[in-house]
Parts: sequence; structure tokens; C-alpha cells
Amino acid sequence: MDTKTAVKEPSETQLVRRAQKGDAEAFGELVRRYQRRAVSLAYRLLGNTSDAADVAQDAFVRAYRSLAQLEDPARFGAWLMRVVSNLALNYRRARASKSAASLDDAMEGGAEVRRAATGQPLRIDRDDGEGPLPDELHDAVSRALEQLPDKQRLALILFSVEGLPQKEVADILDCSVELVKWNVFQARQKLKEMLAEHL
Amino acid sequence: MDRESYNPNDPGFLLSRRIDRDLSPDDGERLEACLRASPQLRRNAEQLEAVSRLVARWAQRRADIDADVLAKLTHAQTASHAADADLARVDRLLHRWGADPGTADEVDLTARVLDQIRSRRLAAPVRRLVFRLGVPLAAAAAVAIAVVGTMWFPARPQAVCQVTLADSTSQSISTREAPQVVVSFAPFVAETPLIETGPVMGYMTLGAENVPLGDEGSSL
Repeated sequence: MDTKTAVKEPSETQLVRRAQKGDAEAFGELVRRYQRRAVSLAYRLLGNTSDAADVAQDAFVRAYRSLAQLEDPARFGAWLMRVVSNLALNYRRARASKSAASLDDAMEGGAEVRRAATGQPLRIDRDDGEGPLPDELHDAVSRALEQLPDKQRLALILFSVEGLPQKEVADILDCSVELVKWNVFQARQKLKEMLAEHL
Repeated sequence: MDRESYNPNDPGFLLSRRIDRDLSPDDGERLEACLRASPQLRRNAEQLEAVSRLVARWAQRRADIDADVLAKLTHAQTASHAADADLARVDRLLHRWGADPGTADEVDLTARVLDQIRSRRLAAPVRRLVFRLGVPLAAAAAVAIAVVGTMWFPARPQAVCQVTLADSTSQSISTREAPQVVVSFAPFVAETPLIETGPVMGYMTLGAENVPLGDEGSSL
């Protein structure tokens, strides 16, 4: 018998329970399992890798400190994603209040700002309709997403971009599954209007 | 949350759910009937699908890594290395990040979180010690200050009883024949001279109480 197969990885619930008793190593394993989703979600909400890494790290530390409040260990993932979402949104608001600069300033696409300032319509060149978007179109979508209400943007990103099940998104947003679907629809409607010239 | 406008029968909502393959057969048939009847709804459907494709392509872009992020992620390891060695490591990290953004910083983010947690746990006993020693010490100091203050500043009288003769030209109490004595109380002020009560000259009955008479007044 292969001894390797006999060693079972601890379940998420076991890890959460151990971490609740102060086992930092168990929490480290939870970090390893969830950091990709945490960084990815923060990145989608902030558009900046550096900020996303900081927010994800902060979210894990806060989660560890508040872990005793988590009654159902099985809900750790949704609970953590809610912490990440809230922190990212707060971070975004703080960043916006510090500077009126848009997402373009956080990225290197200064041309977008100049184009907006001159009032000239955005023209997308060399888009073959496949694969990742060209820089300018990517920035235009980012900016349109930025303008969505928080819940609509979160619903769309968590469900359509991150691919989480609707039930989990509902848990994170603390609302019903039906309202998740409705928010996704509302987000698409608004994006349709904002990105009309690119459709 | 747009609860007020929520309408499960909104054709646009059904279109959005169709994109997510979340329509029941009944809803699907109802939507198809609406689409056949409305060119505008068909146009709306095309646009919503285009939006959905645009967002999907938008999401294909992985987190870019820039010099600042790499400096943070690799600070601990690269601090003592030469610049060219740093660049080589940065290059390797960059490739790993591009391949899988979740694994490039895996070890690093975990280490950073655990470092932070452990530093807080180390600081906690110190905080507890300060709390356990500091609070009793502060309480003892407060009691000591109160005791010393009481010894240095003894209690002063709070009111003065003044005794005067009524219907008399003299303001002093000097005779047993005084027809009437008025007793009044006044708040004590620092300027009020305190006069030791002299020997009691006598008593007279005023109402139901016996009132001792002093020369001019007596402190309470």
C-alpha cells in the first residue's frame, strides 16, 4: 500500500477549528489555500497588484484576529471573501478621496486620461475579438466597472469573473440568490450603456 | 441593493439569466416568445451577450506585476544580494507570476501573514503584563494621592451659624436680657473669620430647641 495515499490533508473545517485555538500553522495552510482567490478578487476590485496584495494580506490578518467570531467553520471561504471585498472597497474609497485620479493613473495608461480630457472618442485598434483585451479597451472596461454600484460590481465579478457559485456569492453579499442574479443583470445593463460604442 | 425594482419577469433579467444558463424551461419558452415578437429585445439580447463576452475577455488579463510589488514580495530575500542577482530573481518571479498569479507570491504572502500574526502574539503577553501590573499600580497611586491630599488639606467647615439679636441696637450678643435671638446659617467662604466658641453664656428656649449662644457666632 502506498503510504502517500494514507496521508490525508486536513479538511478546511479542521484547519479553521485548529486556527481558532491559536494554531498559526493551520491558519498558514488556510492562507495558502485561499490567497489566490483573495488576491485575485482584490485585484479585480482595485485594478492594481500592489494594492491587491496589501489588501489580501490585511484581510488574512484581520480574519485571524476575528476567527473566534466565525461560528460555522464551513463558511470560512465566504466569510474571508467578504472581508476581502469590504477591505478592498474601503481601500478604493480612501484612495478615491485622496486623489480624484481614475484607474488609469494607477496603471500606466495615461493616454486614456488624455483622450478623455480632449473629449475624443476612444478608438480600439487591432482587436481581433479573441483573447485578452487590448490595453485601451481593457482600461475602458475597468473604468466602466468602477462606475457600477458596489453590490452590482461585486456580484458581477464574483459570479461572472471569479466563477463562484451563486449561493456562495449570496453568502458573501449577505443577500438572496435571486438578488445576486438581479445585481448581475443590472450590472450588465449598465455596462451595456457605458460601453455602447464598443459593442 | 435594488430591491424595489426587482422584477423576475423583466425580459432583460431573463436574457441575463439565459447567458448564465440559469433559465427554467418555462422561462426559456416565455423568453423565446418575447424575442420573436420584439426586434428591440433581440437587439438587447445581442448587446448583453456582447457585454458578457467583453467582461470575460477583460478577466483574462492576469495581475500585472510591477517593480514596487516585486520589491515588496522579494524584499526579505533580495536585500543582501547584488542588483543583477535581484533582477534575475525578479525575472524568474515574473515568469512564475505570469504562469499562475496565485503561486508566484504563495510562499511570500503566507510568510508575511504568519510573520504579522506571530509578532502580534509575541506582543500580546507584554501587553497583558503591562495591563496586569499597571492597573493595580495606578489604583494604588490614586488611593495614596487621595490620602495624602486629605492629610495636607483638612476639611473646612461648610457653613457658618450666625447668631444675632433682633430688635436691638447692639449687634452683639452680650446680655441674657436680649429679647430675641435670630439664628441663621450662611455658606462658608474662605474670607469668613472663624471664631472659637467662647464659654456658653446661657440658654434660652426658642421654639422646641435649645440653642447655645456664642459671642458673635460659632462654626459648625
